[in-house]
Amino acid sequence: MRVAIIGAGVIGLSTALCIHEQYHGLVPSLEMEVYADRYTPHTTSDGAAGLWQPYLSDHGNLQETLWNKETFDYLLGHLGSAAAKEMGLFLISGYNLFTQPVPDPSWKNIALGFRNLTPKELELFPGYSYGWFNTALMLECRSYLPWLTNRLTQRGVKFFHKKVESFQEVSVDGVDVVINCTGVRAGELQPDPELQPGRGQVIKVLAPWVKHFIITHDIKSGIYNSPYVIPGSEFTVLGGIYQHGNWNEENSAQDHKTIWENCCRLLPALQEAKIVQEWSGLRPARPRVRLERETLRHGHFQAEVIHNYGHGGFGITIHWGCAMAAARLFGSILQEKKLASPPQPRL
Amino acid sequence: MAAPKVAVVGAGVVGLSTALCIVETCPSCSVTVLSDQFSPNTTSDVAAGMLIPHTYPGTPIHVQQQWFKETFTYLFAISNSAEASEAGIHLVSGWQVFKNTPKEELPFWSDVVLGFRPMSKAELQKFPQHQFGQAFTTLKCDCPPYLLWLEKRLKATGVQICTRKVADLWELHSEYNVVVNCAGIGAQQLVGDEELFPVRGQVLKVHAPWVKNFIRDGDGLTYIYPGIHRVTLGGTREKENWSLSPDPGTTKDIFDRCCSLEPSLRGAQDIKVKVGLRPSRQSVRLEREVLSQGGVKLPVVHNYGHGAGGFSVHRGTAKEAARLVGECIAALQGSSSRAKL
Repeated sequence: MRVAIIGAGVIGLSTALCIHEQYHGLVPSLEMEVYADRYTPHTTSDGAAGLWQPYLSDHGNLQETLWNKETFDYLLGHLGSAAAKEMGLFLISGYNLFTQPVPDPSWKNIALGFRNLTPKELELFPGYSYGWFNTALMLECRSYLPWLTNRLTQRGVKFFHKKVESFQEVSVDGVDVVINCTGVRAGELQPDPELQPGRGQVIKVLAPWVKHFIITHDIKSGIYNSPYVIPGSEFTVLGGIYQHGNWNEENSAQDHKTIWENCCRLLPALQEAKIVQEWSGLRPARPRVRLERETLRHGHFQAEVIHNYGHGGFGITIHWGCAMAAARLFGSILQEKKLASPPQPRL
Repeated sequence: MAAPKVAVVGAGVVGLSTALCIVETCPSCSVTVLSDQFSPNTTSDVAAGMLIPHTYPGTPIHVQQQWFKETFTYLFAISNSAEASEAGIHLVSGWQVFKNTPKEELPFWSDVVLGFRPMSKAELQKFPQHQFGQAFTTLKCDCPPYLLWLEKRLKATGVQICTRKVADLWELHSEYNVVVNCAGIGAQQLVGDEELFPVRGQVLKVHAPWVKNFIRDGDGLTYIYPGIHRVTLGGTREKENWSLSPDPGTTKDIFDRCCSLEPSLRGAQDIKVKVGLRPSRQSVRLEREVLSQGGVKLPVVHNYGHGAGGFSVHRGTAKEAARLVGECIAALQGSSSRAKL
């Protein structure tokens, strides 16, 4: 049984690992391959700061809230392990700021220690009159993706540096199941008008005195169009750009100015921070994540495809829940092919 | 008195902040800081500089509360300004965890720090050996940056900073009108205070930049305090131990205790070991004294004995010391004008 994963961002690699962990024992003939034209550190995931935090509202999409929770719990369980540092995983506390009261988010009981900000705390952030404090997790992809790659390599998974032009190309080659984790460019394999780039730009600086994330929200501008500051293990990420429909991966001087001025207004000490890097990327935005099976037939060939893309600005936040859901879909494919009995629940 | 000459002995956090307060309240004063040690070689440089007060058994609680509040408010404003990184002041959130629920669940400073509340069950799961905890956000003064920033501000106001080992406060009587004693543990020799004793603290300063939260065991012995560039791991509280040499057995013990609170510290790099002697006393000695020999008087203001709580109350005690200096000067001016009559 040959399985090909297309895409080597956080979604592709974690889905590969999840499926391999669960099914390699059940299907000894399982051969897994990863195809991607971009690997770490050049994927969309690498540009993200890595903060676990879902959007403010799940729009009633309880499925996604559950996947977010599964991801948080999974990562929390790894915090005390020897692997945490190598994974780029650590706890971090911080602030979400608003100009008016807002309803509590779907994730208030998933994150740790969620509470409203006190008046004294709000004094730190002139212009903001309401906010939350909570402890969440950071998962830095420039560490996590190599860690996933190592785990996969140890398991005998093969990696190919190749741009896949069509599903046919892969299935004609003899692949039985294709996992489509192509992120923002999924439309090139199969048109999807619901998938749009949500362009972001970030400035990475050296500001090691910043120990909290600070995410501001402007309900009118929409998610990520308001300044945010997210301290990583080495650099602090300054951002606040979300441009729907913009495919440009070049850094914009205007966006740089917006980010820099807004973040320095938020945290005056940032004026002393040294700029180390600037980066732009395209969030794979979609009204909901596309996580479903599809059977593609062409001529003699049939391929089972599992789509797992469209995670917008919350890919890291939701990745493991989606990987497990994709693994369940894989299990159903195996059942149909009578290759395995129903998978046992994971302990 | 045209320009009262004030000497401040000691250049740790207490000496430098006291000198600054004197200059702020008495702009006509000519202030000189005298010390044999400066940053990075003061006791203050060893400390993590966390604003979590120590309780002095001999000082009324409302006074300690006032000192802490003043210090917190002062540093809060700096942390929120463009100078924050230069001054080394930053906010840090974290947890104080207890193996057994403490009798006093609300410390006197709980309404001064930010967001103080009990930890949730989910938060406590990270600390399986601890039954109870408190979560809050406080400030940290990183040294050397904070001391260097104080020195810079002092020099900008014209304060002289001189390297000099003062063996006896009286030796200053001919050069200065008022002497302020901020000698910390040095006060034991300098003024022969037998109530002052060292509480030795050994700490590790390590590179572990992924640690963003502080963790402190309520027993005060084990703590993890993330600073700008290094995380301070502690510690020990050894009464009457004067040794400034790092002890390797202690180093391993501190590291193990901290790793059991925060396992990821096993990956910490570049471990540096430091030792400091907390200048401990039942209460901070913050009072006036007049030394006299052969009819000559020297007003002294003592401001030492802050033990484990120096950073937490430094600004509050500095302001009080400056006020006492003002009283000394007024008394001198009063007596000199009487002499003119």
